[in-house]
Amino acid sequence: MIILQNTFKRLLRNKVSLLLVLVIPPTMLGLLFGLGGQGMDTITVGLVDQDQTPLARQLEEVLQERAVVKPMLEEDISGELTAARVQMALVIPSGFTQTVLEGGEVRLDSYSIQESNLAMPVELVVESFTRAALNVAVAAEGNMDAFYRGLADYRKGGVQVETLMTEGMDGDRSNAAASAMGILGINMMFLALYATMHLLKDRENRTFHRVMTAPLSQRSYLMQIIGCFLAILLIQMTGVFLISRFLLNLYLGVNVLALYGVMVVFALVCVAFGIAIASLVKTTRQAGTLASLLTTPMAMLGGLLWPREIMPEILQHIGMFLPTTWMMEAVNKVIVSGNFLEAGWEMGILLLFALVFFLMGSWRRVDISV
Amino acid sequence: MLLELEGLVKRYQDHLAVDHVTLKVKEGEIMGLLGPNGAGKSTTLNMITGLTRKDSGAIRVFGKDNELQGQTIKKDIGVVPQEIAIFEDLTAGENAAFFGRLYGLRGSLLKERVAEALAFVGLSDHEKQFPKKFSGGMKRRLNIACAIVHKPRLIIMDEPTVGIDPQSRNHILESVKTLQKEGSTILYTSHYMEEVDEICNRIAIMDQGRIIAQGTSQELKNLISSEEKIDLTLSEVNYTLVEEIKKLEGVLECHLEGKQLTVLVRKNSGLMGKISLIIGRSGSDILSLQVDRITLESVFLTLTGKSLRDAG
Ligand SMILES: Nc1ncnc2c1ncn2[C@@H]1O[C@H](COP(=O)(O)OP(=O)(O)O)[C@@H](O)[C@H]1O
Ligand SMILES: [Mg+2]
Repeated sequence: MIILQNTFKRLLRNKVSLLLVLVIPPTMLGLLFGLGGQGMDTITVGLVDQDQTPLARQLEEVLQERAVVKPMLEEDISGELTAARVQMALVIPSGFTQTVLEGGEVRLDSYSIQESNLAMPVELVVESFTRAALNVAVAAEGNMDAFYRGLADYRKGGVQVETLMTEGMDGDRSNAAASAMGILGINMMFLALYATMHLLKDRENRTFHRVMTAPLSQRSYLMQIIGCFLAILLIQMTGVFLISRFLLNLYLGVNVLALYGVMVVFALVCVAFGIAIASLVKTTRQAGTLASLLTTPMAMLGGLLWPREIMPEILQHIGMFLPTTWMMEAVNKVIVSGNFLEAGWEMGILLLFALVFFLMGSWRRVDISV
Repeated sequence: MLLELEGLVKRYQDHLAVDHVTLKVKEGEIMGLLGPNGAGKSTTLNMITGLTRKDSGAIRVFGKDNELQGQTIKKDIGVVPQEIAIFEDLTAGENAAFFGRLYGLRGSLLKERVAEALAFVGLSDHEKQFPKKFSGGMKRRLNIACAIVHKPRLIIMDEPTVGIDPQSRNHILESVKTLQKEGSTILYTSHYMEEVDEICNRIAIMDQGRIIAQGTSQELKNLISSEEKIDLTLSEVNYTLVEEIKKLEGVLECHLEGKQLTVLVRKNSGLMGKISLIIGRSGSDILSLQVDRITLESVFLTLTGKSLRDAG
């Protein structure tokens, strides 16, 4: 364990690796998602109620569960939006309740500055509420009392509305979680390769050779180095998960532990990749060149920076040969399903990549001095 | 025998770096391996420490074959590499402690030994400092400290005094002698004949992969006891001069280095007159003249036909 401890101590003393572990990933995430988090509670919705009925008020209550509701007049909409006092405005037109009771088609006009991520969940809430109201209205057959009783029951049960909402919103929040994992993935690759450069430096300054004159096998040395790199990547990962979850309030899928598991497997791939590079090249400069030639395309083609679907098909096919692609596939599956096994195929491929890289990296040198 | 090399061979492509080296080192002695750069000294040492694989031959350390019992042997060897191999991001104390731990030292014993090793090389006051700020000599000394924390039976030193100030060099030479007094056996490699002559009990002279002579300093000098070395400093130099002197009956070797002319002649050959005549004719004056006692340098010169400094 001496090599592991020593390497670990030295990596934590190094400013660059410390930045890569503790500073850069949270900063990137913070810049992308904003401190304080992206949740429905942060959106302020301007509500123009021209109908002034109990139904309209109920809709307001439903909205209040998900957003800050600010009553206002129609003429103020554009002013409030441009001043960013509200992120979204919603108009309940007069006659809204009447139309619902008659079972007619209703549409609420909504305004927002940009197609913001925040507005969509609110729209979904509104839509599912009006759909529910319509259903109840049909059942009530125009009877006002029956309608409101039915609606109250409906809201108490609430189940259907909830499921509808979570399903709809998940698409969006899952994307955010996936981009967070993409950013983490890039940082993991960089950290693994930086640690590899550290390893090569030990070869250049001959401390590696000196260590090999001690009673210590090459296998033990390599295992300890792998252990050390894995440990440092796990620290980085854990930090990112904690910060995403508790500081940035990011949604990390149905089952955070399963997602963590996927990233642990990717950490294994990153470390193995570094070890393979270390055995292929001789100097830190060669490693640096190779690393920058490989990591950026791996990140881009693997979908760590943007969804793979937006790339030309040919690039998507090339991506199939990169571990990053399979990591993102696994991430996307696990975020939605919460089940580690759902991504079994992708994990298998990732482990295969790790195995191949490890085999390349553990090529034993007979002549250590060369 | 503490260390035995037998017919050791190492080939790099078609270049014989080590050519059938046979060498025996007795317990408690300082064995010097003297040779110019590229002679094959480091390659020989690397085969002993297991860094380089031998092509053929046998290595026995403490009576054990180094291929079969490498890990056992390594515990009792301390290696001072030719390059300064220390961690720049660890303090002097941490460096020594790391290597001590590699050899199994722990706890209070480790602390004690680290302090001892640093004191031994005169770096006690720098224990908490990073080697980045050290002078070349201090780094060399730390390089040695890291090899002796575990008090090895055999210490292998590969040119431990290269490129340092005379003070650090003397310090190192003294400490090598102290290590011997404390019971260690030392295989000491260098291309400086003076220091090998000063501290080693026995010396092996190596050139182009081969050991061309070995024995005590006196035994080696006796090899050429029938010779005399004349050192002359000239006002002018002239290469035909060297050729002419070489043609004289009784001159074994003649060699010009800057304005320094070294002539090796058979003892009592009375050639001084003829040599000064040739020099006079060439239009040069003799600024100083010294008839030297035989040094290892002249032994090397006689055996290889080249100066130790020029070879390699
Ligand atoms: N890894 C290597 N590959 C090829 N040739 C080498 C290698 N290492 C050493 N040599 C050659 O072997 C010879 C002996 O080198 P070395 O043992 O380092 O000499 P010394 O230590 O006496 O200066 C030199 O000619 C050197 O060029
Ligand atoms: Mg050497």
